[in-house]
Amino acid sequence: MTLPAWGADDAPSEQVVVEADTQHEGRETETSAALTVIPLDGSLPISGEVADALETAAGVRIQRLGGLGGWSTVSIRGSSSRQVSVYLDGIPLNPDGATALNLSELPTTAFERIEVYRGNPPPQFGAAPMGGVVNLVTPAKPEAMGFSATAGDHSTQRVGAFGATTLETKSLGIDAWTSVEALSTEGDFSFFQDRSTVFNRFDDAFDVRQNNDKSQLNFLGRIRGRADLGTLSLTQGLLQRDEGIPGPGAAQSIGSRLKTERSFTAISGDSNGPWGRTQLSGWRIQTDELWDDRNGEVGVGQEWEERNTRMLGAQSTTDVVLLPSVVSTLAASARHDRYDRMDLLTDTEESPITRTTWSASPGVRAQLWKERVQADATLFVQGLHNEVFGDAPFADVLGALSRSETQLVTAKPRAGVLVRFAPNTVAKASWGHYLRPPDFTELFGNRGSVVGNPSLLPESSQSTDLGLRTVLPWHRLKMVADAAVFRAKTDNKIVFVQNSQRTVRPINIKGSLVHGVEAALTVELFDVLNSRTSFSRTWSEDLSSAEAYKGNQLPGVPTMEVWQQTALHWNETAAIGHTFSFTDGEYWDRANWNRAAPRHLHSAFARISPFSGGPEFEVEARNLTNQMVQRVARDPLNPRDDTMVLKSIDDFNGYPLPGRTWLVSLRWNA
Amino acid sequence: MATPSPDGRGLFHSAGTREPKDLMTAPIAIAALSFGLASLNGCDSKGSDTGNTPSLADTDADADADADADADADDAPTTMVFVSTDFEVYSLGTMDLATETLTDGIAALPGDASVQSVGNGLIYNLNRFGFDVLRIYEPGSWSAPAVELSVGDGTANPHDVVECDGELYMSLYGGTVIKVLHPQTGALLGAVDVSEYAEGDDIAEISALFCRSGTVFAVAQQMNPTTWLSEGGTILKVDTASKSVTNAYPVSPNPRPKNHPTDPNQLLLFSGHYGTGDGAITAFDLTTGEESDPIAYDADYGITFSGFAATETHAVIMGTNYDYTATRVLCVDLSTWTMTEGFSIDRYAGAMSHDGQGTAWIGIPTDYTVEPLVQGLQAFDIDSCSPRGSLIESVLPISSMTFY
Repeated sequence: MTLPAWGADDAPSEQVVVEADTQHEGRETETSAALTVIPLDGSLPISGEVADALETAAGVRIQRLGGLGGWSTVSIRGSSSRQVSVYLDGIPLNPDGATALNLSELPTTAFERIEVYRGNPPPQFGAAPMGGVVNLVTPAKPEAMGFSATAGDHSTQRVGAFGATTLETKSLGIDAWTSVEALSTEGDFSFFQDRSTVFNRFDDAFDVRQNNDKSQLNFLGRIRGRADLGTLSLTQGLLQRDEGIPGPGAAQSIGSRLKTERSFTAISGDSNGPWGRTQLSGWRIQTDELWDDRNGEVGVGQEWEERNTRMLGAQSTTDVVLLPSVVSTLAASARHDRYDRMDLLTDTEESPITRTTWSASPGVRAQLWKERVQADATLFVQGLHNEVFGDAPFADVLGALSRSETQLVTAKPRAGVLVRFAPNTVAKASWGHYLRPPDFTELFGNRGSVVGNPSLLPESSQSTDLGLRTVLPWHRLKMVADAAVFRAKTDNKIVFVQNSQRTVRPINIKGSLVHGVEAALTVELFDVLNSRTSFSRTWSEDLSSAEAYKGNQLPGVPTMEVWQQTALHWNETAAIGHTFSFTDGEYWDRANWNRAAPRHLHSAFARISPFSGGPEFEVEARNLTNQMVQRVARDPLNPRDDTMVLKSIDDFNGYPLPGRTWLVSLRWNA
Repeated sequence: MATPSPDGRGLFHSAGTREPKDLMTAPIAIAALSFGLASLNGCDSKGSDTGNTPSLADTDADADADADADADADDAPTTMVFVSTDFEVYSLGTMDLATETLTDGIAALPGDASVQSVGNGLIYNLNRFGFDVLRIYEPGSWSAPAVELSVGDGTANPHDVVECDGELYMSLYGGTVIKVLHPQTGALLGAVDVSEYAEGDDIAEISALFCRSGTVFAVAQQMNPTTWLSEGGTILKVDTASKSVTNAYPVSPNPRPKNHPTDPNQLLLFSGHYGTGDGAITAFDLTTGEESDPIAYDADYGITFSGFAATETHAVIMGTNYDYTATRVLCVDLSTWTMTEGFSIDRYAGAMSHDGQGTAWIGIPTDYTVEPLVQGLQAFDIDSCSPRGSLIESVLPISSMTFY
């Protein structure tokens, strides 16, 4: 008795990755989850970052603080960045939304694809990801070696290399793969400075971004052994990053710095047989940060501290074939987090804060009606135990199976169904309840600008979606069309509210409601034209009863986003591409006073590979039309003042984005 | 009920408010403007204590609110101007004191805003840390400031203004000078170097300014930004002719000065550090430069004293407990400095201002634990130590108030 072929597709184990490697296009039609697979292939510019690839997917929003290598976060379907869980080969990098992950810390050249689960992620990804899952997948069959280099404006340089080797014996196969990437940039781009005086245009000028340099070294390596019994792999990642923290454009810092070192170690193994399949992983992630704001430019007064976070975790997923058409799944995980902080100014060390979480997720998947209908259901039982300095009020969480002042156990159901109308046309729907506990920063602050709130309740949400996907191959034309509608209601949403000049405090608000429409179209024609378009229209609503916010659109959630890329390829000799992105209908604040102007950005690249099998040369222009300013209402509260004023373009209000940026790249893969 | 207009820009009204003020579109200029106001050479401008008591359009030396040399109050203020904010957005609003009609969200402000009056009929809006913007408004013309200019690079953090000897003095909490500006145009006329009085972080943290008999008094908190402990404080005496500090008087740490209720030649100093219980109230004699023994200790009441509003016989003091989870309003008999309980708020509140007519106006912040969420202004009668009327709701919490 073997696993149905479809059963392998949405598990992130190494072996499944190998099996699905050549068929990742089919993964989206094999799961009830709202899944987009983004191949990191030649259709994207060589100089692209992980964030650039992610924003090609419908429903995904990337927000940047400005400049290449600068802080960037991901949100999905109007979620907050903390609600999105990011995984590396199935290992969580920010479990339970422990932090909003900085995408620019991830090495671009290390991955072959990115899986974006916009709804109903598989049980292996845990109970928390109410905002979706991003799974970064390393190459299953890496090329022997490769090299890339980029140089460009603002003293930007990036160099990456990877290598792989394989050793095969009669009964054992061993492959080793490493990827190294180094990045440095000054980030000293020009931006429009209005000095916050909207009625006074005499002091407007273009300024230069200060203290915005980044330097980063990334290493990722994997050793994997394959035998009849199964697969065992060891993955090690290292990050060293040093960056200036410039602060808002109106008040740039000169000396605030952040150093980050991260070590990621994971061991995974899986085995399958007639009975089913099991996969087991263990990991350790150690993140050490040195925050230096001794001039008090960004935070509250002088700050100089070390912050160390350690996560130890293990997870397992076991699929057991109960019947030829029924597979049961049991996913379990446990994790222990520890957070230490040392104030270097006063040479005092705080008591460590720790947390233990576990989850157990029994589920079942069934194929019905000659595999035309696939249904799955999972119950996520999640336990949370805070060993912290002070108690977290879990006694107030409704619907919990068990609760006390320090422990919380909840059970959240999810279900999905996929209906196959034709071999390449499926409809899918899902429904689920989710929970995200507050992280340490939200609970206890950071002794700087964030004041903790130990009374925070976990966020909970209920999400539903309905979608259709079809793949239409016809001669040398291939079209893939995706469309979906979704709805997510979040209760006890955690938002940061400022409560003084320089401090913010997280609170639970009544909640939010987000619903929308997503669509994506991919066209491949004659192996020459490759075109991808994604569109999302989102309606969001603040459910607060406060007069200032009731019924308002959520800040940072645009009503419309369009992303379009078209690339032309001539064999493997040359390629040109153009990217267009459009964003509209975004408010910067909960009160919905300040609305960003519609933004349309164009980028383009041209690539040649004059020698077969030889290197590729590429020139890319980001923000080709040099959009640096936007026109916004001078006084949004005065309906008689229709004067528009210029303001710098930004994702986060006050943090300008760069204008046109030229990059030259070289890439060679053996 | 606040209803945004279709284009997303809204005029906000408090629950039950009347029609908004008629908004006029005013030309914007930074050139010299004629305001038709009497110059105030040599007057005793009461200055501002960072929003806790108002500065009144008063040109004589007595303690009342009008220009006559007697003790009545013919030209009592008629209007409150306030800043409301959720610390993400800031707006300017007004309230008619006679009808207590509040109109919120009249004009958007840059950020970290406060409003003050200095006795010359103009309203000064300081936008502080991260913004460093000064706006000068002619009362009633709220659609656009008469003057708007940048006073720093985002770190200057202007905290207070006072008019003295015909010039406007501006304290920069993050700077090493006190700027001297033209009161109507904002043009830079000079600066007072106070770098000598910095401690720890090379900044003196000048918070409040006062003018007495043509002399400016600047209160330096002298905070160590590592520990947020004051390594001073100091009151600087500034000669307006030479634009220099002529005397420096050591006072209790972290001084937060208030106008003395009865003696214009004295200040009350609230000293001590937030959340520590090491503070006290003292009196500071501006003529001798001497600080009195403590009149009251905040440790006796479990709060850090912050707000103050007074008539000639009574006062109210507002303060928060040491973990910023509750605020108390205490009533003071000024003859004995006996304090009794006024009322309490179960969260942090920091805005209180006196309208000069015996009413202290307290900004009540949003209580996120009770639905529906409301915030606004509460009137408190100082002499009778009792709240007056019910909460006047605003769209956003009120953080700064002044009167004209």
